[in-house]
Amino acid sequence: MVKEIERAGIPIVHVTNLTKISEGIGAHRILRGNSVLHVFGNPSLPKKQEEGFRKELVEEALEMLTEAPKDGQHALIHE
Amino acid sequence: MSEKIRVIHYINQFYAGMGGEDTASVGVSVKEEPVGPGLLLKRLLGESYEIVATIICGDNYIAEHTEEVCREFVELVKKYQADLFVAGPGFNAGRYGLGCGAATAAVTEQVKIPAVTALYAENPGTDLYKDRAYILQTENNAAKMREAMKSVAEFADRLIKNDFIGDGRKEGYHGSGPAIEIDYSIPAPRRAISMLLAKYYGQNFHTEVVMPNHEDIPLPVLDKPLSEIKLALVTDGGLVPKGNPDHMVPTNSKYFCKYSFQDADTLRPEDYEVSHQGYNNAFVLEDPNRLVPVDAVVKLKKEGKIGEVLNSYYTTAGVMTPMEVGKKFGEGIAEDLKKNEVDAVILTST
Repeated sequence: MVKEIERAGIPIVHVTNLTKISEGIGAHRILRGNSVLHVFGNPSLPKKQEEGFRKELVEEALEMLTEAPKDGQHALIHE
Repeated sequence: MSEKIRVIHYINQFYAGMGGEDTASVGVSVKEEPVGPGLLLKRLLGESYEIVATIICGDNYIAEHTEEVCREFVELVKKYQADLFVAGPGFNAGRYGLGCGAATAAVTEQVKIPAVTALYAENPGTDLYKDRAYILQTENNAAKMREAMKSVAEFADRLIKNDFIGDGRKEGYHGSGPAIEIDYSIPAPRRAISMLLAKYYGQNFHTEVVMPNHEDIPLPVLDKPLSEIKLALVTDGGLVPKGNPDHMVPTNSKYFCKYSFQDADTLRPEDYEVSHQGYNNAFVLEDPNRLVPVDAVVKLKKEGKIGEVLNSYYTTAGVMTPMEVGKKFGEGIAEDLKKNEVDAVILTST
């Protein structure tokens, strides 16, 4: 799905813990989530702090949308 | 080794010096010596190899009678007791590429000797046969014959020596290469352990689970600052409204769904459930924003960090869903994103 959305010319960040698979299919922007079970969550934190954590992770994804992979690399990957 | 390794080389009428399009309909003929690019191949393969026969076939003929010609090739390879089969390289020549791919696949599968060809990525023969034969990557320009033949010769030599051949990306061949034959009379654990041992000792082995090799898509870039974009959220984690109104299946998905959260600034757990058989979704049920981070993006919109948020999210269950189906979902979602003038996407995968 990521690649078809990229094909349409729309920048996309794939947020997942299976970053190797994402890299393997050729996604360009990959961000490691907190866990397979809660990509944008961190249940070990109190609710308010978890919301802050989530917002920061979304901001990181947004920043990645404005960036490109380094020269010679296919994907921009934040582990 | 005193006896030379016997090679059969297939080329078309053009490379055989018989002419161009005017002779493209000629059938199969054999010369018991290297011909045309075969001379280069002979030199590159070196002293321990001998080109025992060159098979020549017109491009129209092989394209129109592919199966029949391949049968003939297989018989010839057997007749000459060849140890190695090389086709082309065919670069971006369509019919020749089809011939190269088909012949290499036929010899690989039916004679089970090392076989290799080389084609340009967009050659129609590449797509058709890249998962049945070793098709090395070449440029689309036949002027690069020397480089292409060099990689063919080196790769062929490694096949003959039973050298370790890694995946296509590393080794420079298209697709996944020859199909793997699995001997089901050997139990899976034993096959797995032999594979592991082979890997440990640096010997050749092939995975039974081939990851598809994927085409490159140009990098899309934002054409406006973040503060002006419209962002959308997509997930394959199976988040659906309570009651699963569209009966989205939890595995082997057939469609994706789009659900509006209207002007909500967070996804409330009482409104959602998960239809996804592939992960423990307790954490998402507790707080759906952990999968589809609506609360965070709405906050960021209010802060002016992003311009707008599409107030619907797209969802499917990415479990046991074939690549081709995922591709279709992607196309459908992309079309709808375009319609809604979305500039950027965050997609979560569990």
